[in-house]
Amino acid sequence: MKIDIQEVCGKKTVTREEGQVINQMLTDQWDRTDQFQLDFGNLLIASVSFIDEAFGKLALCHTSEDLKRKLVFKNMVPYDRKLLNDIIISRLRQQTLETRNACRSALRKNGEVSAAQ
Amino acid sequence: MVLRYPTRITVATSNRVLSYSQLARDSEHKEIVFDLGGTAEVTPFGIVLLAGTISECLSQRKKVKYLRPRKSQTKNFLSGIGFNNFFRLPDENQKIENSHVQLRRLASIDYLLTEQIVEVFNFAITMSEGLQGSLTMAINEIMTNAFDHSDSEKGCYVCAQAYPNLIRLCVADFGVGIYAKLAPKYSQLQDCYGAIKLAVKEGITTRQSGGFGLWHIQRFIEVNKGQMSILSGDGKAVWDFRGPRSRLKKQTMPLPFGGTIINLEINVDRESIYFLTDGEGQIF
Repeated sequence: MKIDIQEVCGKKTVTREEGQVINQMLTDQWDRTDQFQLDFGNLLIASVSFIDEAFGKLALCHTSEDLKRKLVFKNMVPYDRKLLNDIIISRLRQQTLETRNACRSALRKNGEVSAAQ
Repeated sequence: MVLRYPTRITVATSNRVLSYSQLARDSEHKEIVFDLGGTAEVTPFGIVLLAGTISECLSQRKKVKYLRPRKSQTKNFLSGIGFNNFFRLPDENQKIENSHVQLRRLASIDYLLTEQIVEVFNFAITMSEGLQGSLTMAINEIMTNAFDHSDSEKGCYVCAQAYPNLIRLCVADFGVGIYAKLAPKYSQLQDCYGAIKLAVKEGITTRQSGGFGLWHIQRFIEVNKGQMSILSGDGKAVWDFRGPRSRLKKQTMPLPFGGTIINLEINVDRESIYFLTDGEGQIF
């Protein structure tokens, strides 16, 4: 699955709310998608909030192997790539059974909502 | 009520100027006089604090009088940074300086302002790409934090200035403060200084999984050998990385300030990529 960040977000790449848009897309399709190709079009984001919400939160739920396998970051400026790595590794360090269970129950809840709709 | 401001309105004189701010807001006097006659130096910290305090008084329908600095250099500086324009004061001498980012009040995050600040500074001084990225990150995070943590409908005030080797950036909100936001979630908190220190720790937040913003800014300032000051309630914490040994200075202010101020002093002659050490590896 290809996601063009500029097409989806435009210039809205700063806040947590804006990061949630991407996170939601990834979370909704996670189990049904082999690989996400995220194209940043060399846009400088430099927002911890956006990157953490969009991608960092995934590292509370999934292993580094899963993340590496599923996520491909294309045309990302070196600064943002460093920021992304920094945030993902920090979140992986925070990952616990509790965070993984919280992710699972959130996913189940989302699934129920989707099924009801 | 007359508030006579000191010669310098900077973080160093924050006790007095923050007390003035709170006195002006809490006062039952119908007229407040902001007397800057004897003021010779105002930093972005002073600008946002003055602008925010005067705006608060005006919104309380108080009559506000403002006495300009006698020193022409200071008068011109305030004019150039947009202070007069902000309050629509008559200004015969308004000239926008390249090294300033005009005083702004933001009702929501302004996507273009960060770009504008970095562009203006890049024009005025030479910045490495790493510093540009780190500065962009710092501005974005401070603004995001201000809107996340203030609970204030009035938004936040931003002002920045470039000096030959230094950038000063200050963001202030007149909201509930960090302690009020963190205390319901972190019951061990005892005071405002403790709340400020906690807010800067990795993974600490009022949200489910936020809390990286201030932590990253602190790391950037550490690598940059700059200074970060956070003032909220009666707490003041200053992370000073300018000398050979880093210091964290604690202060309790005599009169609590309703709101939060984050002030950064950033070296412009340093590369500031501050991320993981090599040993920690890269995933992407």
